[in-house]
Amino acid sequence: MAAEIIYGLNSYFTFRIGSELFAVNIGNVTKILGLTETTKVPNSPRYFKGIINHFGSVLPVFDGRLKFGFPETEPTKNTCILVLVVEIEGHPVSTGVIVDSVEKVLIFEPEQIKPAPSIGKGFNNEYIFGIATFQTEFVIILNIDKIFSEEEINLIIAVE
Amino acid sequence: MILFQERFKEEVKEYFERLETGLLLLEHDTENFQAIDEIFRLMHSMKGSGGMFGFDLLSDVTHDLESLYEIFRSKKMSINSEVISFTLNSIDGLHHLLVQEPTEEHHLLAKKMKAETQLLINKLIPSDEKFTKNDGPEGKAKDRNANTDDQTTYFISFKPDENIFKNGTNPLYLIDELNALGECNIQTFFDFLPDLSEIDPGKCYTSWEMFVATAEETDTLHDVFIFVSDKARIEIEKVSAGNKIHNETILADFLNSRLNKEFWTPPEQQPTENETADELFTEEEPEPSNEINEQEKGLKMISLPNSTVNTIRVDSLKIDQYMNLVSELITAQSRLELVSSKINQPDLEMVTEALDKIGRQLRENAFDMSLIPLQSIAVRFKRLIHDLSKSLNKQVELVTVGLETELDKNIIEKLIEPMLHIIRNSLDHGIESTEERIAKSKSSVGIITIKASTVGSYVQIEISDDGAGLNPAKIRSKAISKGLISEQDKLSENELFNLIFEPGFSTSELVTDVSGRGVGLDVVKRKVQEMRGTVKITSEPDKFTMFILKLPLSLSIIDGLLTRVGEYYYVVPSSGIKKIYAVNQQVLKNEFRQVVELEGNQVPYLNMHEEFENEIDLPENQIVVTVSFENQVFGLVVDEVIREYQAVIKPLGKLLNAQDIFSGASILGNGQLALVIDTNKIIQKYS
Repeated sequence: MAAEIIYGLNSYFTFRIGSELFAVNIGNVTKILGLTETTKVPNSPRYFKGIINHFGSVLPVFDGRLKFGFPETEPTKNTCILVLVVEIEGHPVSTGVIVDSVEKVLIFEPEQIKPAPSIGKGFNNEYIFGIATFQTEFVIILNIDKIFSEEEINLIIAVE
Repeated sequence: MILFQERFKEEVKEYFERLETGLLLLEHDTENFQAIDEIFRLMHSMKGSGGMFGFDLLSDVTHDLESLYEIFRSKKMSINSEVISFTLNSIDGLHHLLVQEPTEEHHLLAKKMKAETQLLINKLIPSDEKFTKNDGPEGKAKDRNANTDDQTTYFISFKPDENIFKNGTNPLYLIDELNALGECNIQTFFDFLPDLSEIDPGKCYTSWEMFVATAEETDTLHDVFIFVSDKARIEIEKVSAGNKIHNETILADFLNSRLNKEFWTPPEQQPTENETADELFTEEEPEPSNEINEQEKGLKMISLPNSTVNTIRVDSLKIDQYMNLVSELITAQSRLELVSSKINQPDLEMVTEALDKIGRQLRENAFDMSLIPLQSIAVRFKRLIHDLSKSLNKQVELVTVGLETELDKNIIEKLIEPMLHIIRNSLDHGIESTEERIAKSKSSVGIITIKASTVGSYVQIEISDDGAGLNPAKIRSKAISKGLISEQDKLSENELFNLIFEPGFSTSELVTDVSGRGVGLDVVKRKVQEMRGTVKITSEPDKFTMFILKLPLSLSIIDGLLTRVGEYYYVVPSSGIKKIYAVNQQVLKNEFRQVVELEGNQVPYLNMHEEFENEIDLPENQIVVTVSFENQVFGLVVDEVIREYQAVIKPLGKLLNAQDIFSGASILGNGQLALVIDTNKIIQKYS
């Protein structure tokens, strides 16, 4: 599976975790999968859900709720796995994130995206690319390369 | 263009290998003219295509080497071992010159190599003879107008096969090359040109007839066409001595006689030194009037495609992709089987079964494709032995048995280094010096044997030498001095031998250039273990030392045991498994340390159920799978052993790099994943 990141698009894919509306650049999204049984990898942190068989290759899957500091809940029929491509050490790597629901694709021009303010409440500013508004709601645009950076992952694995 | 350059690089590397093979053949049989021809041809193509793709330095140096081999090809002298060694070294140099953007260093290297080659040529051939005969074709062209009396006018008819473009030949280059040899009068013919509607732009419909006045011999003219000789109809005929390009009467007469299929007698023949050679040549080369020969040639052209394609080159990435697809197919297939058995519909079952059969064949086929014979790396060994035996001043011969044995390409690549290391060791430490061998009344020529064979799903490679053998006492004292064992330790001979695989162990008293730089056989052992293989050593003093490597056929498919721990499945590779025992929780619980007694032995264990945090309760009865690593035995406690399982290993990917106790995951029939346990790592981590 040769997944590639498409750069330079100004469309953003939005999804919901808890009540918050998050977005990632559409160039990083490759697929949306229904929630399937994951195979747990021993000795990994709780927000690393496990691995799944993704058309013959191994796809690591993270739990978005736990990763972004939300309480764990039972999956609903809207729960799904968002397959993203992130850049690790210069190579595109596929990874899955479980989200509560996927919403729509929105277009934001660069000037519509404001830098992230300090909102505290467990959100680390580093991981946020910027904030935009859609109708009356804030959309948190994530910096996913940062979220899934290798140090971060190694850190994840090291936690026992 | 970059694509072509990459392909060219690949090709050149193959040329290097073939050159080495040829040279090593020559070493044994200096009269092997076939090999000399092959070397010459390889150099010629390297020169040509090197220039075309912008590897000018490579092309430049090979030009000189080609001149060197022209001496042997023309049988002026026979080749000697000095030249062979020189050429082998030059090939090493050429490796470095295989760069598109050469630096100052590269230029210097090229210059040095050229100078050395010229020096050798000068040494072999007295200088007065050299310039007329042994310079490359280009060099000679410069003085082509010096003396028209030395020239001969030839007629050349060049009718390329219509498929000539398909091998990337541009006929115009050949004509340019001819033009460089001397004055030309070229006519182009479009006799074969079909109607516009039928023209295939990928085909060549053009043919040429030309007169060339040159001081070169017919051989040189033939050399121009050396690479298209089977892709084109080429006739070369002598028209007249001297440059008659501007003498239209003679040219017209010649063409007339050709048309009327008359025998052409060159006018006013002056006896020249080329004469005899040319006459000989015209006998070999059929006259256009000779109809039988015409027909033969026609036949030859028709039968061309047969001789061309027996193998195709495929990017190994494509093969990997193909393998992946096939294993996906197998996975999908086993899911289909599961579904089909539920539905219980005879028609569906039949299709499923048929698909299963094809799937299995396809898998075997795919597997087969990714295997390459060990032979492909044998040249490296021969080369090493050739070079080293010279520098160590020992006489050594290599005997190979069963090198047609096939292994996964990835394994072969990883195998080169450890095998070279072992051979280097055998040469340096194993085989004694000639005097020593004679004193021991052995044959003065030492023998290194490489023997390969397939044993089950493993390939066994034995590398042995008939040298001094290992000295257990010496190893023992050395190991004690290095602190690897203590004075009191009692080790069997085998255990002692195995010590030489320990890091930092090197028995050579002198650190030689060849081996014994501290990085020793431990590297060999590590590399082999990385491929899930094993290495053993046996020896008898003054008789032999033998390294036995056992390697899996493939890295991507392993035999394993499918086990269940809680709700998840794990695959334990069969290679390390010793025995399987059923145990009761009581036995495990009672132990204070994590040790279980099995058949009277204390075996450390890891209860995977506890370690891998399961939501399911610990079952009353569990299974201990004992695995061995080096000399340790270790128990893996699982809930259930399901069955033997051939696992297609999928890498876990970058994100999970840190999870090193698993070497990958395998997709089960139901689409679920089972993690494959790396037994070596798990033992290292937990024991």
